[in-house]
Order: sequence, then C-alpha cells, then structure tokens
Amino acid sequence: MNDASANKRDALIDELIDSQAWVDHWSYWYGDLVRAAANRIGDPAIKHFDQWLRQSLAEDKPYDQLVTQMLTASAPNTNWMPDAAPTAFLARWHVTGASMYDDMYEDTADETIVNAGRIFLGTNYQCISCHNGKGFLEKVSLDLVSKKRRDFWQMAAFFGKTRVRVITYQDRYTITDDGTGYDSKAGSTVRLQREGGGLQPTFILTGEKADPRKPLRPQFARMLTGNPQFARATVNLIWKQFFGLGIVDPVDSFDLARQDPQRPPPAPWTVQPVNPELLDALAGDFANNRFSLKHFMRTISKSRVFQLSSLLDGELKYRYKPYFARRYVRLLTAEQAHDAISQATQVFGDYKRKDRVYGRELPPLRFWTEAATPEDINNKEAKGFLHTFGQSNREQFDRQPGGSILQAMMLMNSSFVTKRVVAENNSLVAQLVNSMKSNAEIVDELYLATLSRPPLPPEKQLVLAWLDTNRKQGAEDLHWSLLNKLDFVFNY
Amino acid sequence: MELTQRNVPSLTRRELLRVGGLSLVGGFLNSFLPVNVRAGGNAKPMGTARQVIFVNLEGGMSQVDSLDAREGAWTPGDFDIRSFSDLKMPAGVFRNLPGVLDKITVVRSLAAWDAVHGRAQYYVQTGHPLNLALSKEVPSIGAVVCHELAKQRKPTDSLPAYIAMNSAGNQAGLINQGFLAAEFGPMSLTIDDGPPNLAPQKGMEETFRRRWERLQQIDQSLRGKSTGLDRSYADYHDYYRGAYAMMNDKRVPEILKITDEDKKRYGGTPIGNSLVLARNLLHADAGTRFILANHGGWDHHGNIYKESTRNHAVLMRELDVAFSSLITDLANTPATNSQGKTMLDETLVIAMGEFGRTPGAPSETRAGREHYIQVHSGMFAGGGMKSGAVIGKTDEHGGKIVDAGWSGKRPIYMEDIACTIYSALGIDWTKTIENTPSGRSFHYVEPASGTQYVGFEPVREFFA
Repeated sequence: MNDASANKRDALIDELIDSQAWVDHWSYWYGDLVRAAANRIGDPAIKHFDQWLRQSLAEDKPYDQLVTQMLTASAPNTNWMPDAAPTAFLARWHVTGASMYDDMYEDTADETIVNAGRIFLGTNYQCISCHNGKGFLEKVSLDLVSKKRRDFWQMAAFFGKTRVRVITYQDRYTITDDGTGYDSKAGSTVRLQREGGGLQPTFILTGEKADPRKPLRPQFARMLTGNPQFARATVNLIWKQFFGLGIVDPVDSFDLARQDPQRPPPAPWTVQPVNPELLDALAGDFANNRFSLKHFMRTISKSRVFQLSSLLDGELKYRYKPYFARRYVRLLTAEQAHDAISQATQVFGDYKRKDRVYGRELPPLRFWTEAATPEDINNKEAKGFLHTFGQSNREQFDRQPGGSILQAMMLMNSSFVTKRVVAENNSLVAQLVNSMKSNAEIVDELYLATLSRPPLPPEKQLVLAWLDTNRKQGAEDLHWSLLNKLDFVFNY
Repeated sequence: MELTQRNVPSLTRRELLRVGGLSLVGGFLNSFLPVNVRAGGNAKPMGTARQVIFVNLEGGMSQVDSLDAREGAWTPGDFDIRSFSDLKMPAGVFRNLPGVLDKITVVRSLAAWDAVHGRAQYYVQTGHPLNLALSKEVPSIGAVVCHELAKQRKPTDSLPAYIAMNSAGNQAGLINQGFLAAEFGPMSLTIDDGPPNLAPQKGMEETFRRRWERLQQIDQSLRGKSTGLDRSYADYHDYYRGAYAMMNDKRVPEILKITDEDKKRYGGTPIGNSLVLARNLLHADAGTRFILANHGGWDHHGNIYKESTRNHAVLMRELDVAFSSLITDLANTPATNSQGKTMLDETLVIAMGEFGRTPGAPSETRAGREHYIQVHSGMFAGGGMKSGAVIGKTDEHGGKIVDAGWSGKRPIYMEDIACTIYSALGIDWTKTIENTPSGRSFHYVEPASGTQYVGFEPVREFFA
C-alpha cells in the first residue's frame, strides 16, 4: 500500500501469480473440478495426481498438454508409479458392476465422455447418454435436440479399447488399451440398457472419424484440444471463478447451436453468451498464448472489468447482472475462509497427516489449499467448518455456494473462531496485547491483518474506546468483530 | 440499533426470493423464479403422518445378522438368535427391540440398485439415481417434503424445517435443497457426546451479547440500509439475524437438553443422542418436520464380529437401545397437533440403509461381509404405518426374496420408499416441476430407475 509506483498493481499481480499460494489455490480448485476424490481411487493415486497437478501449474504447462496427458496416460502395471499420475483422471470415473470388483468398461467410457464434455467443452452429454435428444431436450438445448444416443456412444468409443481395471478396490488399478472396442450391447449398471448397433469412434463436434489403425485416445485428445470450443469453455470456467458468473452460465450448459451472433438461432432461442465477442476474444488470447493459464489469469486480473468497484451509483437492476457492469461480491470459498481466519489470527491448525500408503508422518499443514483432497485433513473441528461453508466432497456434489444460518453461527459461536481471538498461546491478539504497542497501534494492526486495510477515522474512534476501557477484552472483541464483519467473508 | 428477532424461516415471500436467488452468488441465475409444480395423475396420498424421522444406517447393515437373522457356525455365541413369531433376531444383541415389535413393521424385502456406497446413499437421500449432470439441482426427499409442507408453517415456527444429524461425512455427502429455496435445505448438525452449539458457548453468554452489539456498531455501513451496496451483504446479514434469533430462542435450550436419564435410556452414543434431540425437536413443535439421523459404520468388509472393535454387534446394540426408546417415548407422548393421538401416530419413523450384506459365512480372508443389493431389511413405524407386521420373506440363506410381501410383487426399492413417505405426508408423489435450471423436468419420483423402467408406487401394505 505504501508503494507509490504507477505499476504497483500489475507488479503485485505478477508476484501473486508466480507464488506458491497461486499454485495451492488453483490446484485445489482443479481437484474439485475433476472431482479428484481419494475415496474413489485411493490415496496413493490421488497424492501422485496432486503432485503432478501442482508441478504442472507451477511450470505453467500449456493447458492443452495437461489435458492431453490426463486423457492419454496409461498405468500398465499399477498406478503406484509417479509417471502414471495423470491416469487418476480416468480411473476416477471407473464404474463397478453388481459386485464392487467388477469392471464395467462401457459404463466407464460413458462416464469419461460425460465428464470430459463437462470439464473441457462446457457441454452436458449426460442426457443423450441415455436417450436421443429429440422428444426430450426441445426446451433445453437447440444443439443436443438433434443428437442421438448413438452419437454419444461414438464419442465414448474413443475409450472403447481402454480398460480401467481395479486390482485392490480403493487402492490399486491398471489402465491399458487392450480391449476390443466399445460394445453397444454391453449391459449397464448406471444407465438405461444399450440398444446395440454398429459404431465407429467419431468426434461429436466435427464428425471427424478416428483412424482405427492408430491409438484412439491420442486422436481424441487432439480433436478435443484443437477444437475452438475447448478454449472457449476453459476461459469461461476461469472467468466464472474471477467474476462469480460465466459469460455462459451455468458453465457446463453450452448450447453449441447458439454461439455465433452472425448466425443467430431461430426464435425464441437467443444467442447464448451474454457477450460472444468477448468470449471469442478471450479464447483466442488463451489459445494464441500456448494455452498458458498464468498468461490468461494475468490478462483478466489486469483488466478494467475485474478492477471495477463493487459499489455502483444508483440501483443495480437484476437484468443488468449478466453484463458485468460492476464487480459482484463473492463469498469466500470454504477453504479460503478457513485459511483467512487462520492467517488473520496467526493461529494455525498445523494438521497432522499420515501417508496412507507407507504410514509415515507428513509435514503438518497450515492451509487447507495445501491439502490434496478434502479428506487429507482429519480434524473434526476444521472439517465441520469447511462442511458448513459448502466444501465440495468431490464425490456426489460440487461446492455449494451461498450462505446459511449455520455459517453465521459458526463465525460467531464456534470454538474454531472464538479460541483464535483469545489473547493466549501466541495468537495475534496475544502478541499485540502483550507488546509495548499503544492501543491505537493495536487497532491499526488488527484491521490490517484481518481486512487488509487500516480503519477509517470513525471506526478507529469507536473501537479505540473498547481497548481504552479494557485492553485485552477490547482487543479480543475487536478481532472477533472484524472476523464477523461482512467484508471479511466476502471478496469484493 | 435495530435488533428485530427475525430469521430466515419466517421471512416474507419477497425476501425468500432474495435468499434463494441473488444472494447465492455463483448459484443458479433462475433459482429466484417460483417453481411451477404440476400434479401427475390420480395419486391419492394417504396423509396419515405429519413429520418424519429417518434413521440412515449408512454403510449397509447385514440383514442376516439383524432383522432377518440366520444362524451358522460363524454366529457369535452371545447373539442368541431366537424366533419372535415370524421374525428371527439376535435376542442377545437386540435386547430392547422385541419390546416394541408390536409398534413397528419389519420389512425384509428391500433391495437396492447400486453396490457403491456413494451412489446408493444418494438414492437413500433423494430417491433418485445419481446423475452428475443434474445433481446440482436435484433436491433431497427431506427438502421436497419441507417445500411441500411450507404452507403449514406457523408464525411461531422458528427452527428449520429440515434438520440433518451427523450426515456431513455421509458417503454421498448431505444432499441439499437443489433448485428449491435455500430455506428447505437441511441444517446440518454434528452430535457426538452432547448437543450441538446452537446456544452461546457455556460461560460466554455475556461476552457473546456484548460482541454482538459491538459488531452491529462497527458493521453498520454494510448491515444497514444502503443503495448501491451489493445485495449479498443484506442477505448474509439475514443469516446472522437468523442465527442470533435461534441462539436466543427460549425453546432451544430445552430442545438441546439431553438428561442423564435420556443418556441411559438411549445409550449416550451419537445415534442415541441424535434420537433424543429428534424427539425433543418434534415435541417442541418449533417448525421441524423432517429429521435425517445418520448412524454410520456398518461397512464391515472385515472383522464383522471382532471383539473390542466397533463391530456389527456394537452398532446393532446402539441402534437397538436408541430406536426402541424413541418408539416408546413417541408412543407415550400425546400428539402435538391432533387430539387423542400420540406423537408416534403423527411421526413416520424409518430405519434402513443403502443395501444389505452378503449372506452365508463371512469371507474367510477378512471375516467380513461385502455389499449386497439383492435384499436388505429395515424398520417402519408410526405415521399411519401398521404395527406388529412383518413384510417380505427371504430364502433359507437370507439372500433372496421369495415373497416380496406386497402388491407390487417385486422388491421394494428406495423410490417406493420415497413414494411411501410422500404419500404418508399427504404429498402427491407423481408431481413434477418443470422450470428447473437445467430445463429438464424434475419428477418427485422418476418412473425409471437408473437402468430400467419400473413404475414406483407407495407400499400400501405398510399402511394400517
């Protein structure tokens, strides 16, 4: 704040994007997105995957390469080899049969396509995985209404030779490509039964067919990452994280027949993106800069729209909302709230962890985003806090946005918060109260540590009286109040 | 300083729209629209129950060790398997259940669709197959119930309609209200040795009150009325006011009270304490209508009988004492809302899990039982259910249904249970909601399971 240089904001942005905290935040977020749950594939797989992901983000691996590795990696012997790390993405979608040791190959391929569509293309193929679009999706998607279940199978057929086999459930698996191909008559444990019929691996967006003599998965990865929709869906996903709302929202609802303003869809349909030119420009910038996530986030962070104030003169009409005329305030994520409270109070959980493979102690964690999965930290109090703030379990549900009565109660009344503002055990309040600092200095420091700003003069006047009456109690009350101030739990 | 004691459950309609809509930053853009509910066909709901307690036996209870017991060389000596008319149960473990058999119905023809906990537990909580494309918007059974019963909410109803206990760590997670308004979602409580913190921490009551006042002073600019300010602040302040109101509600300390006598009678375990609170909550009649109490740990792939572990018998004892005491207390307490009836009459109580466990001898390698979807057992009581009945019969091993015991002439699936719950509460289970965020219709109960068309219906044979 005391730096007077004109480009200090840009310099700080660069510094933040190159920091370890950036890697922690975005790798945890990405783990949520791909639902990297240890419950599904075991701790070793998830730990390898997490390390690989952090390394990839830290070195700014081009995103098309990162995705290609996840889609094409193999684990011929076991997943316990570091170079099999990216296979966790595929293994996670393994489907079991009536017994939990049965492998349902076609079902697993279906799940892979549904999720590749959701994550990499922003499209929702779940509906056509059970039935044709016609007769079902007339009001949902102009594009998908013309698609058939068979089109879906032809996509899944890119993974038809892929065999995800469970060796020890929730621990070891192998992934190879020695199958005979997608059987359109194979039984299913998760979908309506397949009707059969010949098919050939075909990319749904372009109709491009696979060369059957060559490995199928690399061809799929090439078609996917080479399609403009890959960049468009990706920038939209990240845009949503920055602004709280996608240019297409929900981010997995892209209707590909409603993207081009030059060829508008028939009434009553409208062009789907609120700003298609912006979306295309962002996607172009991303693709032309070797799919660099760091580059793209710098572009957004330095933009005028991201730096808009969350305050607006006059009333914000609901219908303005999609046009990004103003910053929307965003509730901190569960992990951010946890980490921010720990950081602001200087009281850390120092959560012990065990390596579940070899049983050895791992270095304790201070921040939740350093963890590989939601299960990585086994502290009841902290888990309760995270759950209340809508943490994703990476299994059945995504992060649950929005507030609740229990969140407010937790911020006010849980020992997770109240014990951290007691002037004991080297908490920030303890350090300050026991120092030679004046009450006025303590007020300044608590505001800075908690809200990243000094108090306004009227604020300072008000709270200084608390400390002047009773230094310890006043400081504790002030820190509690700052953690409960609405500008603490919101990003604005 | 304005300190109205208002809370989210009694917000006005306009404010509810706000809570469900714009405040959910990053949530569904459309979710502030009122939902359009369409009735299906000729459903005639029974309307015999007012509220539900669902004891979720998470992990899968072994039917052949509990409600449909089979004796073998593997059976521990203290199980003491005996016949109770048509039932076979381990009398040495279920010491209290025999005493309430005249008040409950035991069902031995339940079956599941999925052998994986997460997906099967998702069925238990929603009555729907897990569809990841729709899972963000699909509400749980509890949320649908509370949505339907919202009209009946009284001005004095200050507690959330849906309360879930110890469900945060459920393998499916705790499924929330989906696209329905936030007020229908579960309030998730953790209950272990004692009640949750819904009142100011002991000894900190004064501190809390002082801090609350100080907070209002320094946060006036964001919590007060101001144009140009993001609405999310006002919404979040509403949650604070709701929390404050609950923490000061005079009924809450009474609800949270678990006496020593209660601990003795219910077992003092997390499930025991949960069911004491469930009883207290319904007795206080403070707005709660659906309670999901999670009783986890049944997933014994290994060491199912191993001593000095939390083995199957330990869990069955926990369930036995807690469930029987609940049934006894509800049956001995006058109804809160209908003359001449008991609380059991107006409360549908269910205890079941997501699937059963493999029958026969436990596995040689691990001495446990695996997941088993073909058959499992559960208990139903109150809310217009029959008492003293047994429905369904299995073969000599307890692994195959030989008589489903109801007019459906097939296994009873979770969808049928959902139909039954809705019917008992007077809710038309054939309803659909058309204007969902995805655009796909939401059926209260889908005509198809994940893998085949079945045509689900309430189990009429459950009703008296």
